[in-house]
Parts: sequence; C-alpha cells; structure tokens
Amino acid sequence: MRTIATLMRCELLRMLRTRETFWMLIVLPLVLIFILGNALSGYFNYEDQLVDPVEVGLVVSDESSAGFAEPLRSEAVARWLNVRDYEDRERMLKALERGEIGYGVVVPEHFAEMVMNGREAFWELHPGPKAERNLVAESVIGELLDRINLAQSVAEALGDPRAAEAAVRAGGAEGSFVTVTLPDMTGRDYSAMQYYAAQMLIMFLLYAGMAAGLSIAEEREARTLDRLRAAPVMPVHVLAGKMTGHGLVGIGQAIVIIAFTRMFYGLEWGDRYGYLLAASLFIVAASVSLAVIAAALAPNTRALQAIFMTLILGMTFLSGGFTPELGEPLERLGEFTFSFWASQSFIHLMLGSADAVVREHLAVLGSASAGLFLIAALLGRKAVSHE
Amino acid sequence: MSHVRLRQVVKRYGTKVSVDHLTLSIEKGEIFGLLGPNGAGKSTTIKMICGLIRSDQGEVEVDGESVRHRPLSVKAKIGLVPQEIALYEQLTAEEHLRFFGKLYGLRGRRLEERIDEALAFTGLTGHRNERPGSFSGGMKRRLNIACAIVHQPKLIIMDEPTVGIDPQSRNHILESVRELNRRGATILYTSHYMEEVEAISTRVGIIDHGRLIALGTIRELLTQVEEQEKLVIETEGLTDAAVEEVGRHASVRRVERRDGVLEIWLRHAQSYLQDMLYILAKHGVRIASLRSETPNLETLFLTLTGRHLRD
Repeated sequence: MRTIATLMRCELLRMLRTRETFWMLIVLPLVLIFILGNALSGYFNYEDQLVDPVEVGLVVSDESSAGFAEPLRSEAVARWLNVRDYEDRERMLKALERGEIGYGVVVPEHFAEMVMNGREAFWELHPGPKAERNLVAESVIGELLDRINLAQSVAEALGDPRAAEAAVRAGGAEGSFVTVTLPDMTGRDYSAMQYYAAQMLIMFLLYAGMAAGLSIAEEREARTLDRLRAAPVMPVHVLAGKMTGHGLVGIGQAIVIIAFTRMFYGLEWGDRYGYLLAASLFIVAASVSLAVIAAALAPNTRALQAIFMTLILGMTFLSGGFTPELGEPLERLGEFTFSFWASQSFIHLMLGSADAVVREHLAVLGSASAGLFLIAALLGRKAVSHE
Repeated sequence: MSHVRLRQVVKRYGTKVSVDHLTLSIEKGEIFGLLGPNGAGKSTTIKMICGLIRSDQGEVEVDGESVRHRPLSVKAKIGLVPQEIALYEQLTAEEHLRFFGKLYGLRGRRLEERIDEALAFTGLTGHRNERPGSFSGGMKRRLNIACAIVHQPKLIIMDEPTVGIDPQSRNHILESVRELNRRGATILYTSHYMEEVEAISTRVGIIDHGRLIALGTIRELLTQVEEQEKLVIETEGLTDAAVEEVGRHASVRRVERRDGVLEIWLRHAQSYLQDMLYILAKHGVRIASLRSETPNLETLFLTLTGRHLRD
C-alpha cells in the first residue's frame, strides 16, 4: 500500500504542476457547459416556448353532462386552456368566428346518459384558424376523452353508471393532461444547461482517463517507466498507483464541476449525493480502465490519443452529447454506449426520478465499468511493460 | 564471488537474435566494462539483469538469486542508470530522490540522509529545489545517476551514462564511478566509447551481435593485438637497403613503405625504437617525423570483427 501511495502522490504532484491539466479538466468543461447550455437552449427549455393558454368556448347542452367537462376547468389544465362558457352552440361559433376564442367544444345533449349506458357518444370539436392553438387544445381534450372512455369501461365493469363520472372527475383533479417528457422520465423536463452539464461532465471525466493513458505511454517513451520497473515494485502496483492518482483527480473534477455549476449556473443536480458520487466513480473507474486498455494496445502516445479521442467523441456524439436529436437509428446505437447510461443516470438524478430507476441505470453503468476493469486487469502487465 | 552471472542467455525479438548464448560473470567489487557498438546487445543484456525483460533461454543471477524467480529481491539490490535521461519534468531534484528512495523502501531520517548524500555526491546540493528543465545536460545526467544510487545499491548498472555531455561532466561522471567502486559497489558500465571503458574498467567484455567476443583485463585483451604496435616514420632519402635491414630485425613483424613513409609493425616498439633509428641513420636516412601507434580496444575490436566500434 505504501508503494501505491508513493506512486499516487508522484502522479498527483505531476498533474497538479501541469497547467494544461487544470485548463483541460476543469475550465474547459465549465466553459463548454455555459456555451452549449445557453446556445442550444432551444432544444430543451419548453417553458420558454409555451404558447399562451388557448381560449376555449364550451357549450354544455344539458346539466347532467356538466360533470364530464368539469376537468377542463381544473388547475392542471389552466396552464393550457382557458374555458369560457357559452349558452348555445351558435353564440360559441360566432365568438370563434370573431376570434374571441381559439377553439370550440360542444358537449351534446344526453352525453352523460349515453356514456353511462355504454353507448357511443361524441363531443363536437370546432377548431379555430390557428393550427398551433388547435394542436394544444386537441391534445388536452383528447386526453380527457381518453379518460372518459376509460371511465366508461370502469362503469360497465362495475355495473354502476355513476362510477364513470366519478372516475373522470377524480382523474381530472389529480393528473396532468399534457406532459413534455423524454422516455422514462417522470413528467418533469430539464434545461439545456443541465443536459450539457451531464454530457460535458461525462466527456471530460473520460478525458481524465485519457490523461492516465497518456501518462503511461509518455513514461514508456521517456523511459521513466523502465526506471519504475527496475525498482522493487510489482507492475500491478505501478498501474494501481498511477490509476489511483488519476482517479482521484477525476473525482475531484466531478466535485468541482458539480459544485461550480450548482453555485454559479444555478444548475440542479438533485440532492442524492451518494448516487451522484457513485455515478462519477463508475465513470472514472471506466475511464482509467479504458486508459490501461488503450495503453496496452497503442504502440505510442499518438496512437493512444487517436484511439481515445475517437472513442470519447464517438460515444459522446452517439449518446446525444453534442446534439440530442440524432434520429432513430443513431439514437438506438447510442444506447450501447457507456456515455448514454452515464448521462441517463445523471439526468434521472437531476429530474428526481424514483430511486429504483436511478439504481437501474447505475447498475448498468457499474456493470460496464466492472467489465472494463476486468479487461484492464488482464492487459495491465502489457500496458506497463510493452515487451 | 560472482555478483552477476549469466549462463547461456538468449534473447530474441522476432527473428532477430539480440543476445546469443551469452555467458558472463561479474565479480564483486569490480568495474566491469561492457563494450560494443550500437545494437550489439548491451542494453538488452542490462535489461535482463535488471528484470525489465525476460530471457528466452538461460539463467541470470544476481548475488546468487535468480532474476526470473526472485525479481523484487534482485531489483532491490540494483541501481540502474538508464541510457536515456529518465526524469520527470515536474519534480525537483530532491523530489526525484525522495520518490525513488521511497520506492526502494527508504523512510524517515534514513531517507533524508540518503537524499543529502546522493545530492552531495552528484554535486547537486545547491540545485535540490530546481526542476530538470533548468538543468544543463551534464546536471541532468548527474541527477539521473543520483536517482539510481539514493538507496546505496551494491550493484550499479550504468548504461552509456555519458552520452551527449560535455567533457567536464564526463570526467565528473567517470570519477564518480571510481568513487562508487571505492565505496564498495560493483559497477557494470556499458559504453561504445572505448576510452571510457579503458579508463575505468578492471575487466572488459566486448560484445558484438549479441555474442561475447572477448573477455579479460585490459592488459589481457591487448596482448591479443600487441603485434599491431606500430612505428610510423616520415623520412627523407629512404633506401631499399635501409628498409630491408629494418625488416630483418628480430622484433619486426612487418614493414611497409609508402613513398617516404615507413610503417614498422613490431613488438615492444619503445624498447626497439633506438635500434630502428640506428639502422636508418646508418643508411643515411633523415627522420622528418616519428610517431608510435599503440593498439587499444578499438584495434582489438577491429581485429576481431573487421569493423570499427562506432560504425
């Protein structure tokens, strides 16, 4: 352990005295997060893109059906629809013509009765002149109609006609009608800054691994590695010392980036620090393992740099690190990259996803790291000796 | 007692045989010079002794311990001064010595003492807090040596430690080698500069194409080429009769005449110089200049391989 600690301290000292390390591993990611987060916010910041609530004219033709339309007035829908009541269909259509409202809905007579008796029933929907407004209104109303269909099924199953209306009311009060999410998310969205912070953190933690690989290759070329190997030190200790040094720098890098972006960019990473640390540790472990593998396979520093750059940039691109919209085939391919699972882990933590979801992603990340670590362990001797 | 012993050692790189059935023994307390041209197999031999590479065949032992079977124990006894200046740009001279000292198990007060000694020995005490970037080539070489001796090894292996430095630093290093030897260390010194090897070695091995082609003390080796001692005399009025009489002298092995220049190969040239001059004077030949060419390891290498050491 003493030998490993000695080697680790030497590695840390060398890194800390190399000015490029600081710029490359700390400053550059923070600058990129800032630039990309602001420049590409159009992809993410849904709140900025929201249209004003659509004015919807509502006609309920008979009192018994009013309960079915009630969810349209709920708080959850108020962000999207502003309902105005009209006495009859004609007045509502005139208002639509005059542009006083953007969309019209008529709940016909006996609608409730038909629903409760399991018969086919329709709402009259009157789109306005603006397609965008119509789209918003139809999204919300479509969701409500789906619920009514579901409620009708419930009523039939229970044999209690009143259950249908009760189910629609209950759903309307609690649920959100419109969600803007990425797959597996809980319904919240995240900002471009958060997205790129996660992506850049991963990319630059992988670069920390590249620094570890370069350190091995450079020492090999400068013959200082021969000097280490001529000392009474096992090759595995040489590797362990160097990799631990770089690993610690990687963890430090993660802590600084997360803390800095939280304090100065106001970025939300979630409050589960244990999971954040675990995700960072897995990425760092994978990156130094990759460093050992690359050092074993690459004949010189240039080759190693080329291998690593291709790997890091390729994985970052496929996982959506540069642009989130890659199209179906590439996105599918991206799911096979380490960066994808790493970014998903961070994003789930940012969004406050359930522990089970976060753990599931961390498990994949941890397994990938363990696999890379095993390969690195097998190739370790070759990385150091290159005989 | 042998400090280092190699028995029938072979090392191949692909189809190229770098070391070819090398058998060699280095005794405790000697300065052993391993001489050979570039690519002769000197560095490969050293790497095998230090446990940096494994031999394909044969056995390498240090202090009776097998390098293959007890590598860490063997490495702890050796100080390697590599051919390249193997230093870290980011560490000061003192930090280098602390780092390598710790790798060899030194700690605390003992470590600090050894650091001071190594710095003093290499003349770097005044530069202990400086980094190699500010050092001259000679200072870097000296720090390169200090890193190898900080743990005071009993066997010091120096692989061409004077490459690319000024004469003053070279002398300093050669004197350091002698001093380390006086303090009890066995030295294995490789070089393709035969003057250096001649100057410091008690025994010399000459290696070429991975094979040991000559081994012994300098005196023993030079007896193999003593017949190549030569007098070169630039003359005026040289006659055939004079040349003929010189050739008849008992010590002379061969005579060659090129215009007015007479080349005489003879044993113990200094003893018989007077005789040669007497014969020439007797024939009325005047001497314009005279020089004696004594055979050295270069001559020996040339005789054994047909090539020069620095070819």
